Amino acid sequence: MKSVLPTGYFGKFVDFYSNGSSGREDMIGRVIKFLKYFKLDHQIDRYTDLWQVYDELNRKYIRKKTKDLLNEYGIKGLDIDIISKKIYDEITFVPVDDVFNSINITKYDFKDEDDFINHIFNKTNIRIHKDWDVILDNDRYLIYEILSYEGVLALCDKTHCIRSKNMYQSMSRGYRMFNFVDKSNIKDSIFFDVSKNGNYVRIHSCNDRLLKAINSGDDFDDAFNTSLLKEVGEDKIKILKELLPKFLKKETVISESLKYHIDNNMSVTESIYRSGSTAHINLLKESRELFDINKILLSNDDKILFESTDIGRSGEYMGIRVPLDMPFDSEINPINEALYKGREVELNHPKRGGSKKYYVYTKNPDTGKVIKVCFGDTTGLTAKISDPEARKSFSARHKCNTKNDRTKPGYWSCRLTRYGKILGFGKNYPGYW
Amino acid sequence: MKPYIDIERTDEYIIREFGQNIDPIELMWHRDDEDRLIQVIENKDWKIQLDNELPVLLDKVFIPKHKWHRLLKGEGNLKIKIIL
Repeated sequence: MKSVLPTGYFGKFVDFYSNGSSGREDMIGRVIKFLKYFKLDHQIDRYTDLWQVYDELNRKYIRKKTKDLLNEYGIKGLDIDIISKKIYDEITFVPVDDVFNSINITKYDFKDEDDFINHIFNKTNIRIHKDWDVILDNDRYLIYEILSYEGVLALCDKTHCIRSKNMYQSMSRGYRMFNFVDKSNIKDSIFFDVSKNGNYVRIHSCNDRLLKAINSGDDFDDAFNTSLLKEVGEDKIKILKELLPKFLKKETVISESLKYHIDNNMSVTESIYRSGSTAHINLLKESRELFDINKILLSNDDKILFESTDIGRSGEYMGIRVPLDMPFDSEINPINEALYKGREVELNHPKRGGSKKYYVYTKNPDTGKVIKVCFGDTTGLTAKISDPEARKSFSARHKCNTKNDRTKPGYWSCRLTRYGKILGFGKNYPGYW
Repeated sequence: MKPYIDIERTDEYIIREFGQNIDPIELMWHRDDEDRLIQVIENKDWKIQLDNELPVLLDKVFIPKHKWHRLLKGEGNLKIKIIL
């Protein structure tokens, strides 16, 4: 196979999207995968061409892959629903269970993509959906939504994915989903981003860059004109310019819980709440969402944790959603499953002497899977983290400056001091032990 | 060592006092095995916090058994009556 792309192309593309959503970088990989799959050699001079190539190849790929997989699985006599899921897994790169778990399918009742788009621009209709209320009550989501919708109209111009009831229904009906995705008469591309807990659906597209510029205080017109939206077309620009400032003037609505911490100048990681409680985890989640879009200024200690860990995010561990990178004291803070499913069943409540003293759920960066890491002394020693000499000695003995793997107990043991308040030591200490 | 002293204890109630010199770290999150009805006898800015709620000024409060809760230190001593 010949060299696929001209020199400099990658740099240009990556640079262009470096401040945008990470999905764009994935796009490069997918196009390359498609090019290799079909053994094609495409010349791409402009980034917009990539979309065309991607779309063209994606359609071909889906058709061929679907046909192959149907043949393969059909011969095996698998149920059509199972076949659909397998095909969906294969062609979308998204684990189908993630989508199913993230979306409360029964909440959505859109007939088709046009119906859905109508809902977006009709507040009355949006309000009938309790999760959309979240969007309307919180301007940042609404801004995302409008920006993205307009951006999608103008820039993407092809449908890649609609994660909604439509998709689910299409899938449940078999492989008609692919007709749905592949319809040539769909004018609008919509990208959904379903929050990890399924509380809201964020639509996003090429305009994260614009939103970021606006949020960072740049001049609106400059941000607008230097964004991708300059290619939108005058009519769309006019609509967007009328809509956006109204929402940008709104203050972000925050929870009473977060407001309490801000008003009292309190750390959100140590929090007023019991470590591991639903309220604490919700507070971290809200803070994480605001932090990720530069809508909140955190204390230095909090900032370090938010930048260096997945705190505030959740992952799935043995079928249950668990908060990531938040150590729990296994003796005094058993996780309450009410957090996940409304049941008062305690998990991970170790017997004395039977487990390590602390545990934390973290994501293995290599596999993407959530694992549980148990750490801490079980021989009865107490953590003397308030003693600077003890911290220094521990750090030296355990070579803490070399412990950088979050999946290992040593990583967490060395950083125990940073979670002092969470774990009931009364104070956080920077650095290692 | 407990962070309080029981001034009076009967089969029906306990009069309990928390001193102003208590280290706040001793007021840990905990759960009780029985329902508790708390009445305040003497309080200045001491607060109570139930699990998943923000702290509120301690007044008459019912704490269901096994409900996580804790006290937050205020000024002076805190004297309460715990109805058993």
